[in-house]
Amino acid sequence: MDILVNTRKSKASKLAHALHTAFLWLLVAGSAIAGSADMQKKAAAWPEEEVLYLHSDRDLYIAGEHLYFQAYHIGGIAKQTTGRLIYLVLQNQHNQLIKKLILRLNNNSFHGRIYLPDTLSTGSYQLVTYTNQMRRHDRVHQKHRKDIFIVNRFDEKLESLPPEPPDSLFGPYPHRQLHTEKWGSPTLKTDKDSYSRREKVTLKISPSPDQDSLLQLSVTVAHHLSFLEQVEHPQPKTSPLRLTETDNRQPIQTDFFHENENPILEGRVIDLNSEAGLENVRVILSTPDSLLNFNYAETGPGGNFRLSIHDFYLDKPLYLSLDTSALEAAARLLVFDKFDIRSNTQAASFRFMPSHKAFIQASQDYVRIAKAFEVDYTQQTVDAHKPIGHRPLLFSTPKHSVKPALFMPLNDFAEISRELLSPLRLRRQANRLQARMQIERTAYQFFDGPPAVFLDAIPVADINDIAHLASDDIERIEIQNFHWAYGKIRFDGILAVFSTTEAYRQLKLPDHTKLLDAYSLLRPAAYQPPDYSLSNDQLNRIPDLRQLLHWQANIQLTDTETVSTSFYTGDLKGLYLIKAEGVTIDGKRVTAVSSFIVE
Amino acid sequence: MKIQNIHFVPLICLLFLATEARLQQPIPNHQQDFQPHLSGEVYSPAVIFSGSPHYINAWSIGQVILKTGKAADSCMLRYNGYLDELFWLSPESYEQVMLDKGLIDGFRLFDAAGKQWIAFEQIEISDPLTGARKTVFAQLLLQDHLSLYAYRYVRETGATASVMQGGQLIQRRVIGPEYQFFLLDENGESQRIQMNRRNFLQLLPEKRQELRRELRRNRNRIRNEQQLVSAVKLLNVLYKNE
Repeated sequence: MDILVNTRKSKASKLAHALHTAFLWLLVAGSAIAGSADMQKKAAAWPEEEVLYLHSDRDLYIAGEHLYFQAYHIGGIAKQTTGRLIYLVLQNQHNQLIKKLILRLNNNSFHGRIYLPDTLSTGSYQLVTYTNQMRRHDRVHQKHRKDIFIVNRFDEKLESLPPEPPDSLFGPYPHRQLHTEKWGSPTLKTDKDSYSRREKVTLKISPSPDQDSLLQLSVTVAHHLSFLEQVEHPQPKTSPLRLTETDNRQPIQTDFFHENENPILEGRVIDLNSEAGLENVRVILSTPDSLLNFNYAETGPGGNFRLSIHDFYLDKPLYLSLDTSALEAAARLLVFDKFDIRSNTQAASFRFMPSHKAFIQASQDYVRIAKAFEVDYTQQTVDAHKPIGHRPLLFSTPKHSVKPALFMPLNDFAEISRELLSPLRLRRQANRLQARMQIERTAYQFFDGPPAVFLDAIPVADINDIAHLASDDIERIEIQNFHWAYGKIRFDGILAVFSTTEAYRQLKLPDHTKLLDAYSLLRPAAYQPPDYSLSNDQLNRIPDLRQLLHWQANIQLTDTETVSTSFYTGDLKGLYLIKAEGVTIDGKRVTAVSSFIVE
Repeated sequence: MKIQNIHFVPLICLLFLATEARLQQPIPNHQQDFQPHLSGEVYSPAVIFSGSPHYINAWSIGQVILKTGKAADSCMLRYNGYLDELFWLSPESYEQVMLDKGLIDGFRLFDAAGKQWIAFEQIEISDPLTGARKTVFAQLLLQDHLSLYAYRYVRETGATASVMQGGQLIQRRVIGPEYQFFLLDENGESQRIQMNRRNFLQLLPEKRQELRRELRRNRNRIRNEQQLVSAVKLLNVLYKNE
């Protein structure tokens, strides 16, 4: 009986075991299928990987012209990338950086223009775009690049162009063959096939029946020789995009985080002898100004630090210094250059047609004429970002403020201090000035340590550096004789001197102080060609030698609506291409081409 | 043995899925790390009164909104109604820092007793004694076209109290809370209001009767703060319909 019971128990146990195993399998399979379906759905809706697309108005430019471009940002963690910062560099065929720009996205895109300096030599160039987070992957994908060819305005020989022009890409006026019918491409239709000079062109952009999501487009209309066929692109699909330290060009270890609204200044503080990263060192940021601005960051493990560049600090030279009061060893400050991409990609080769040489020579003349007439078709558009007017100040109102110009002229700062600055005590010891500040709260005691001294908002390590300043050199002196706190920093009083003569420029900066170039954000800009519907005599007198007839970025094309746009032809005859490039919100790239003739 | 090993397969699969999920987790947004620094005087006011000068006596967790548009979160704060100053307890040194009012737009405190967040903003009011304009921290009670603020100040009552200090009996001046209420319009113009119906009805003279009727219907006699807030809500409805 017991055996029978045991056998039954054993069978029941095996059955339960099998059911349990099956249940586990079902659970795992179910969650895996659900997970994968969810992931697929997610991927279709919004790519997981951050991708940037870059479109420009043409492929061929003359130095001295403007290049119009649109950058799209798709994918990544945050769907709404308004305020996200992206980097754009223009580099020549030797991988030297010509332009370094920071762009702030609005609704996942940015449209603007770049001036191509007159001094650029003839050759292939690359526009490379990336976000800070993309550098985590240590590469820039092919689609983050755009190859262009720039011809120097004074290059008459054009020796950099290929000597043997191969077959024509388009042939003479083959515009009917140019209509593309690719998957998802919108239809481009002009009201006529040929136009006379300065005639209105109406262009309709209709969505493709395949289009299933919102398409963001840029449309360019330019002379057909402004577009080049790329014959070869020898670089690998990915190329190194390493962040390097400015000074020793060693790859650094850092987090590659999102940058929103404001750029992040990154760097490292190392021990001068051992080169080990120093932790808990304060790095002070300031810029010359008429008010005492101040900000700091503390180094973390490995000696790395980050500072958010507030709107106020944009477009201004930045002074980075170390808080020596909390520094135990001789230190060195390194700043990471996010533009130092060390890209070693080879520039693209383009195929030129026999007619290109004459076209380029004529274009050089057109640019010269446009410069003579000071023609600029750019319109600055409104930046969605509203800068915050208030500065990051160390204090709002000083306890004491003195204008030496209101008193008898005094010869040096020691005299000024003695006669005009009652809370400041300067003593000369071994021919050097020592400063102490009277405590406002007690009015009879002095702080143990010297006050923090600033000249035009730049920290001054030693008060003797400003000892030579006379009344005429000083616009205002501010004194805050309180035990002042700013985050973790404590000041035994603050002395801020504002000069009339930008005296900060003569300051001898300590070795650990760095003067950085201004961080500037490119402002969005649009192309605004002449409108001949308006009776404007001045407009009629100016020759219209535009090779770029129309450039419109930020076109939103839904799957049902048709977008209409219009522009005028110029004075130049020829075949003009209409090229629409775009990307759907799920990251599908779309291109459409059409053409018309100006006779 | 084979049947036993089969248990590991789902486990490995689960581990794989967990790893996948971990890999797809968002990258931490370090933008949050850029906490602004608070600026002010290291100062501990001497205890010379009988009574508390603070709106909430204990240190409260809070947020300081700076004029730069940035906010410093998770700070230990205390509002001193006698000085009309905000104090921050520095987490490293435990020093009291009287924050520079000129750099602050407002602050929020977590009232542990009421289990709610209370927001203070800087508003400009007329000094009742001198008539001069001054900027004070006032608690936002209602935000609308006409916003209601309470200025929670502490003043000397005129009385004195005997307290033992160091074995000696000393006299101390007594301080106590006193609140003033202000209506702020969309242009930032402030108007002091009293907590009584007669004064309140004068705020919208053209719709005085309508306002009176509404207050009566809601049985609101404006006797306490809650009733004042309800009355200002009614006032806003009439103000919008004006």
